[in-house]
Amino acid sequence: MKKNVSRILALILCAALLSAVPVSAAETRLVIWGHQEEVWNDNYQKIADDFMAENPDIEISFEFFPYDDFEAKVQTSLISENSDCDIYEMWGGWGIDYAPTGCLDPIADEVAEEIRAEAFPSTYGAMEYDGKIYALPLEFNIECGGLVVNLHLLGDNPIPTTWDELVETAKKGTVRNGSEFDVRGFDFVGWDGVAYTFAAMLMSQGASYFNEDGTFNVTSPEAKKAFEALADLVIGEEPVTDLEGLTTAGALENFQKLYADQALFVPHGPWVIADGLTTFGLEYGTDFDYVALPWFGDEIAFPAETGWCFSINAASKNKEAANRFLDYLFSDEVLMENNVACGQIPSKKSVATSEEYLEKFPYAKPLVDILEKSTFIGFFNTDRFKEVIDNTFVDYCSGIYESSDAALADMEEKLNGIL
Amino acid sequence: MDVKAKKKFYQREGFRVRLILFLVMVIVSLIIVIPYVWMLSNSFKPTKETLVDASHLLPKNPTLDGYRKVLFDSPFFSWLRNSLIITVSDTLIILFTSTILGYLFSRFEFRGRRFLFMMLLFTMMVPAQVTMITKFILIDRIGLYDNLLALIIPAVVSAFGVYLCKQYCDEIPRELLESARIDGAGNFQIYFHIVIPQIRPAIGSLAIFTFLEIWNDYLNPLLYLSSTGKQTLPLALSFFSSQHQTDLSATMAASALIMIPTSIVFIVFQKQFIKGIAMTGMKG
Amino acid sequence: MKRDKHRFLLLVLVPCFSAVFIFLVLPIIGTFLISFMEYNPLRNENTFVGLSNYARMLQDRSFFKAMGNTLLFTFCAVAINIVLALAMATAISQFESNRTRSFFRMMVFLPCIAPMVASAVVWLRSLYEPRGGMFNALRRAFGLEGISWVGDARYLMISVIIFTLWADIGYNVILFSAGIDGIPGDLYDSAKLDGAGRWQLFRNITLPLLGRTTTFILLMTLTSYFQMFAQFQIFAPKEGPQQSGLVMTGYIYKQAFVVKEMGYAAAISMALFVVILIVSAVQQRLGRVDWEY
Repeated sequence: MKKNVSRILALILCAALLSAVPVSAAETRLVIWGHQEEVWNDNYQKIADDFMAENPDIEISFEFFPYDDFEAKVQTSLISENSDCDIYEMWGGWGIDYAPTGCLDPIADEVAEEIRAEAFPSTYGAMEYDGKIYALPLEFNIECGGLVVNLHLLGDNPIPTTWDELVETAKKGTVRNGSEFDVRGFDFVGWDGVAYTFAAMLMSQGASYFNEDGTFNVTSPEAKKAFEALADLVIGEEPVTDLEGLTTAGALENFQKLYADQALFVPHGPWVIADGLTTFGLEYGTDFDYVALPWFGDEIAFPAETGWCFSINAASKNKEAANRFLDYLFSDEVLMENNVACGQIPSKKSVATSEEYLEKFPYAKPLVDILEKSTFIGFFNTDRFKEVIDNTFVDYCSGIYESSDAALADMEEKLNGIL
Repeated sequence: MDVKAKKKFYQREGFRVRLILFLVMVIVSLIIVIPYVWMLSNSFKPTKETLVDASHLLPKNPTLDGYRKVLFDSPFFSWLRNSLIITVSDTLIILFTSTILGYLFSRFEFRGRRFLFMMLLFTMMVPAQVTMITKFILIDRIGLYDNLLALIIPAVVSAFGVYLCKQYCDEIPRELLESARIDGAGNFQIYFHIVIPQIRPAIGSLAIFTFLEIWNDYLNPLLYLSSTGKQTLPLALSFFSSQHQTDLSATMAASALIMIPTSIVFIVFQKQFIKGIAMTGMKG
Repeated sequence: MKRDKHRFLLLVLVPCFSAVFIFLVLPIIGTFLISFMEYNPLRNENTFVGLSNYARMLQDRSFFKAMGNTLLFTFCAVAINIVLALAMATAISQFESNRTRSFFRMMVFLPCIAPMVASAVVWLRSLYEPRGGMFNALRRAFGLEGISWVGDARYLMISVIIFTLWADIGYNVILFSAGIDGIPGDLYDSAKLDGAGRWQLFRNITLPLLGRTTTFILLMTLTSYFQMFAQFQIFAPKEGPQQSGLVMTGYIYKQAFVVKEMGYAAAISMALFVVILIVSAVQQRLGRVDWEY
């Protein structure tokens, strides 16, 4: 009896669900998927609203998913023959797996030409395959070049302008309690931080992590110098940070530590500023500052990977409308609005150098001048690149390797494994 | 010592042992409860406090923001409805197939019986990650992608449930079934009128186990259902995490809210679940 | 009579096992086939590469690390789980009041109600947190230095096991309690009159009579612990220091969805399946309970 009642209940619920089919008024309905990030999501919606006002025949709706599962979600949706998603927000690094398979639609030729002419090469590098571009780059992803400074902890010390000053001030600012850190002087230890800082230190000495034949080379004297200098900050006599940022799940990220007065200097992209302003309620200029990161070597040179972009599903039935939206997005005005709201460096040269952008997003100041000095990171899986460098670094600092030469030789072998 | 004195001795000695055991269990219970207290406390903290003062047991500036976000900034009630539909129908179907297959494997001889039963147990040994892609392609090609049925139909048989029910059916006295058969009862009648009442305790525990498993399932709904509005409640657990940050207060509020329905089911069934399970089966 | 039986069997078996075959067996066969390919579901054509995925597996240090961690975790956690669950079930059964027994059983089962992901986050941020977390606060209260519960290769696995026991032991306590309650009380009474102590009662009556319950619980716990995934994702999202938190399910997920080498992931999956199969078969043999009765 009881069972029957609940069975009927379930049937009613099922019926209720099947009856609720949405009806749309516009002719074309574009579905865009993105990852969860409140500010970004709100801004996408705003851009879409403006676009819809100009194009009443198109209706845009968004779906946002948690970042951790977003890639698996995109992947299964691309496999599906029944997915209704037209445009995916994509992390550039995924491009090398998707672009060659034909599951994405190349960007319309006119727009692609515009991208080639006006965007920085690294912003679409991973999305270019066989002469076609498979995504519209939204941002210039930059993880080195900028330094967040906690002004309370800096005290009367000047903002460092050379690498040696940086290390010196960081050592002075470090506060330790036994083996535990109360304040980390220079906390570069993080998923992006170690790999990018190492690569930039290497490149700023005029070297490259590539051989001429395209294989990796991290056993050069420059690489060794960079690696040892970096490790010295963790395992030297006066360490300025520990490995927590890479080994300990659930710990605050390095920039969050800085905002919580637990770190003095943290190298990071400018998107972390928003977090200090909103979540932590701090004030730019009095609580913290964002300045240029001093270079390790004599040159300014660093790698950059393809960041967030928008791609069109090859199975989409609304490609024309999708292209129209992307074209709209790539206008200076809209792109700038998006970059400012999301705390990004622009993918487009004209926006990055415009005064209006700097006025609206002054934090980008230390970075816009060096964008031209960047090199595209390379056409490989960047997650695995970072993973290899990070893991080797952690292992070396934990005493797994006999020498830095052994560590770097192992790193080189593993890096070549990802090609 | 005579019998009386012996008994007395045991009672006294027993009391001391029981007291120690009682104290131990009280401590164990406390250890079990602490993380929940912390979960609740953080659900009332503002986001910044969860970042800097996460480990403090009491919120300094209590707020309902976390709950507000979960209930109103996410399609919480659609998720709740979907979760209810999926979990209730799956649980009912699994209860039915488990009991009837348990009865069948316990009491019927037929060719291939051993093979089928083993096959069923084998499927239990395959981690979900192993078949994720192939299962996805399958579900997509038969047109169930983005349909709640994609979570109901593939889950109709549970190896655990069949095994559990078979254990209980093995304990039903043979005479009971035979006398019913002599009275002219068909197999379905015997199943409904004799087997089901006999293994009711198993049904109680299976109901709770199954309900919990499906209710808390995160990955399957996320993959098989396309749009956010069609998802189920566990998505609320990661819905407030961005790439670099988890909104702990909202996440903890979501955890607390998700546990309410399961707690109700547990309390409703717990009598059968905890006491009833002992009546038959599982022994010896 | 016979026809009735046949009809009943067909009516039940055909729909049930069609579903089992389509949704449970077919994907496994599919994975098996993929393990011989260089497979990317997004491509239209995938090449057959024979045994090369398996050959590669034998050269892969991470694979063996993952396998070792999985076996270590499973055996330790299952052994402790069974012993503790049995101890707690026995302890609870000693109380005379029904209400006390019910109360403690409910308490022990409480963690099973919460989604494991949520509990894991709670533990990570409250108990295991290095700065102000409860475990380290406790250590400092005793004059010890705090340790990194999930950030140190020496402690990570221990931390995961402790958490898993907390989160999951309730199921087995309940199942053991049921088994204990099912043992006829007069067996104990007569043994008591013969002068048997508590320990003797447990050894000579409870333990042997729980044989079948134990075999069932052991099989279920083993198969599910081999497949633990969620807590490792939370405690060691990047495999943990020196890959100390890398387990098979995590490695499969990574190969399939991060590295996107589906064929290789499938080959690893098959290896895991075979290991679970062997361990279960050995366990059933040792338990001397056949699959049937």
